[in-house]
Amino acid sequence: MTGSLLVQSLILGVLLGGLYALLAAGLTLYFGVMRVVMIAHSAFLILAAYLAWYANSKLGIDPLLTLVVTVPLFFGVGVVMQRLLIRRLRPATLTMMSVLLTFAIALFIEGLIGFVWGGTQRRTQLPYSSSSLEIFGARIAVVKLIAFGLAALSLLALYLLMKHTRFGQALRATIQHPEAAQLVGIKTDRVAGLGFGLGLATAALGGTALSLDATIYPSLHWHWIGPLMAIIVVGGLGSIPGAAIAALVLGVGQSLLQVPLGTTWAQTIFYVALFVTLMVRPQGFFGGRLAQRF
Amino acid sequence: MPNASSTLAAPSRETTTRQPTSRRTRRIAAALALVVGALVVALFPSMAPNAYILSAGVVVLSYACTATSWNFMGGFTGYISLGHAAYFGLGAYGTGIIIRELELPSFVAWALAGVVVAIITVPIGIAALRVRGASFVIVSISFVLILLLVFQGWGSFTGGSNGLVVPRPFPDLMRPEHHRVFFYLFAALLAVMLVLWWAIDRSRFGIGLKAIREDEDKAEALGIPTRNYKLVAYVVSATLTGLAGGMYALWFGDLDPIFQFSILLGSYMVLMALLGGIRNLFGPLVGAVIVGVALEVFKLEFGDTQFHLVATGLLLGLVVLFMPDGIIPAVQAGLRRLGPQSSSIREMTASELAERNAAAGINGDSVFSGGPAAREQSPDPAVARHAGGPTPAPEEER
Amino acid sequence: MSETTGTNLSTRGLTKVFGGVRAVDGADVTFHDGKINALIGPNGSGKTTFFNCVTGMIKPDSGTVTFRGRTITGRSPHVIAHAGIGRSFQLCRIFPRMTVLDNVLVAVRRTRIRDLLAPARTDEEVAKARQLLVRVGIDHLEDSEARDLSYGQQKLLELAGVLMGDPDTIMLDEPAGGVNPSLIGRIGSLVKELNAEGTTFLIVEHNMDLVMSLSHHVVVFDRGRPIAEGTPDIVQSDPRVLEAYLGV
Repeated sequence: MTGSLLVQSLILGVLLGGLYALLAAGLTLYFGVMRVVMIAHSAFLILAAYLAWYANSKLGIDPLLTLVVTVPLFFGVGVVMQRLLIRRLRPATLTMMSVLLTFAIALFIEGLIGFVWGGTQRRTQLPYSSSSLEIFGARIAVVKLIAFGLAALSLLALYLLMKHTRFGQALRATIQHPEAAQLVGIKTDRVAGLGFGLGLATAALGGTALSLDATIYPSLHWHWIGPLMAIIVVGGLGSIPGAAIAALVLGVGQSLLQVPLGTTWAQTIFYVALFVTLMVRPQGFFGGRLAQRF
Repeated sequence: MPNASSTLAAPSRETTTRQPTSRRTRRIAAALALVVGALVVALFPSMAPNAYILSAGVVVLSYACTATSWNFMGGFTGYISLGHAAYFGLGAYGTGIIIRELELPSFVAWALAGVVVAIITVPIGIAALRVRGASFVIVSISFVLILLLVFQGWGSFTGGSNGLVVPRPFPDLMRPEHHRVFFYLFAALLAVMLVLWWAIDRSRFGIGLKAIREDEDKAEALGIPTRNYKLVAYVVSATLTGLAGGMYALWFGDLDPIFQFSILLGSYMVLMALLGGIRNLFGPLVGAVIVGVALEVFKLEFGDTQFHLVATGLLLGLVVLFMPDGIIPAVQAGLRRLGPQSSSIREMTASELAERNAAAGINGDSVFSGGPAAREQSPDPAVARHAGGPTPAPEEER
Repeated sequence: MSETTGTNLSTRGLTKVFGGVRAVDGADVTFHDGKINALIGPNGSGKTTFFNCVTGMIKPDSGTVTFRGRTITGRSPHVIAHAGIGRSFQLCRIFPRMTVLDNVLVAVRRTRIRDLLAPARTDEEVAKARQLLVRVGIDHLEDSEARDLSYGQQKLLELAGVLMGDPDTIMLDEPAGGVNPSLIGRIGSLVKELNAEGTTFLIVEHNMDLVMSLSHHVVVFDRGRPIAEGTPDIVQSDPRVLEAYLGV
């Protein structure tokens, strides 16, 4: 690989990794507050991307503006989902049943998207879709930079929220030790609902970022949930920093592999990493106190 | 005062004489249902109005096979694999590739593909079973996704996105005959699976697996070699699924990675087994019939839209929320409520009870009417229900 | 009762560290064969961790566990069960959706491969299981699902299940926890009966009355290691024990 190609792959990998990191953080949130493996996370991601594309192609609005609507909307949907659906599940089989339930939701959303917008591939065309910047000698599309910027800002906001607000504290306490959190007066039920909403909000942010640059189609979510789940297992179930680090590492890895191996084979890196993690350190590499054997 | 030890002075005989009657009627009903079912299967091809309906029947039977084979793992051990289509695809492609490379007769290739699946599943199972619950589900999904990638990418070997054509074992047969033969072949495969499931269900291996499902660590503490047991169940489940896939390949003749390594197929398997009841022998079969027929109807009504995804998602969600044990247990419970009430805790006649109470110094009202004795009971109303009305609770204390 | 006591189970230097906490810290303990041994100590002294290290639920970081001359350190729980050690759990664990009878039938000493598909409910095994249910006093619940039993009944069921495996040694983790006094009495007498028949017991317990009335040999744990051991009387009057409990 030539030098400039290497640099470009690296940068693209970082940009991709940022998006993965945001989405993996969201996925970790559901798991942290409620031990729920939210398979529908990427389906919502794609839904947000479709909404952004639709707003742009039919109403001429810049996709980033749709955030104003989609983020609070998805947040609300997340809270409602936790209240109405997840809470109904029996605690004994919660994790298992939540997998099946969110899997069902994912199928439902995919079907809905296909039903409403058809199965053809869509791509958002923006006036600045084809412009690019030169960074360290590599040409990087502006849309990719914007997407990364959005992801990075969101992650920063999430970090500030978790570390420096009362709600964030309550959230972290609920994740670490729900019983203890209840004992100090935290309404863990409400926090869990809000945590869920927060997770779906990251899907909205991620989806909008995705819409800037990617070709979308209804079954695309399967190409995201696989890598995302592999990321959170490699990072360590329940650890947001772990997920972020694993996301960056694997994102860069995928990007680097794309040149010699092509897109299809480069995607296998996530599953190889998953396999290695299972054999060597099933509880994950970068933290994850919650990663016992569930 | 009556307590745990004193209630045992006279071990009950009533329960043992009550059970055989209702057990016998249940057995007769089950045998009858079995005969009817077998007749339906045997006569269906003759009764089917056209070749399309017959092929739909074959599809439903293939679903029944995969749902039942899935249930060897999901039902017995409680480990839910959402990516089981991986083994279906491996069996299908395995059969096709073996026929192409080794030029063996169709069914020899089919059996050999099954062996290959079994061998491949051992290291995969060892890795996957290092985690449990949700992590295991994640791993299973990842497995089918990676196989999808591999089979799409390795065009030279697998035909990639162009698919793989599998030569028909009986090239001279007309289509209706072809469907008819495979209808019976799938039925035979299903029968074999059902017999094996039944054999495991009543065996030591089976009870060990069920213990793993209930409480894996406890099972291990009681001496069950859980790792080995799980692995065997997994390999058996995968191999049977692979055989179903191979049979499908021989019947359908045309393979495509997207349809063979499909999460949707995997979710159908789970849905069917859950819907029918994963703890029951015929649960997956019942679920397969219901879902399979519904799918065919949807296809006719709504054509090729994404609607079947919406319907599958909705149905799966409803089953998980409202009927997690499935249809068969719900029906069984309903029938039990309609039939003669038999209690599993010893029942006494009123005079026996009065006698006993007099001896213990209690008089009058039910032991459930307050006091420390009542609170000693588990608050679960099911306990009260099982205990029947007047039976004094063994844990009582005054 | 003979004065010479053989060693049933012993540990040397057993250590388990969690994060920065030395839950079990170089524990050298010896339990006497044929006796009822008790392991007591204040909360957080490492008793349950010690217990779990011995029974294979947790792999110790260092040290050895020997059972009747055989090293069993770090072996899997099922291997330890086959070696002849049965155990109960602190929060009683049974198989909720299996019948009471099936719960007992699960425990097997060892199943040969050719017996795997043999029926689980042979007349012999069922008779033995029923006998055990009678012995602990819940035979009339034979066909109930285990989850429908009261907590006390479940504890008895757990014990019956352990007994099915014919263990030489039984380890009980807080058998008196969460049950009413009459049932504690029942469990106590069962333990005495079984001990008289030759079963060694290792009991972790907080209920001092039970410990003192039942045990021949008491080991006191504090901060991950034994600090005193002997007969109940000796241990009761040991100042170090008092100190450990009161944290003085």
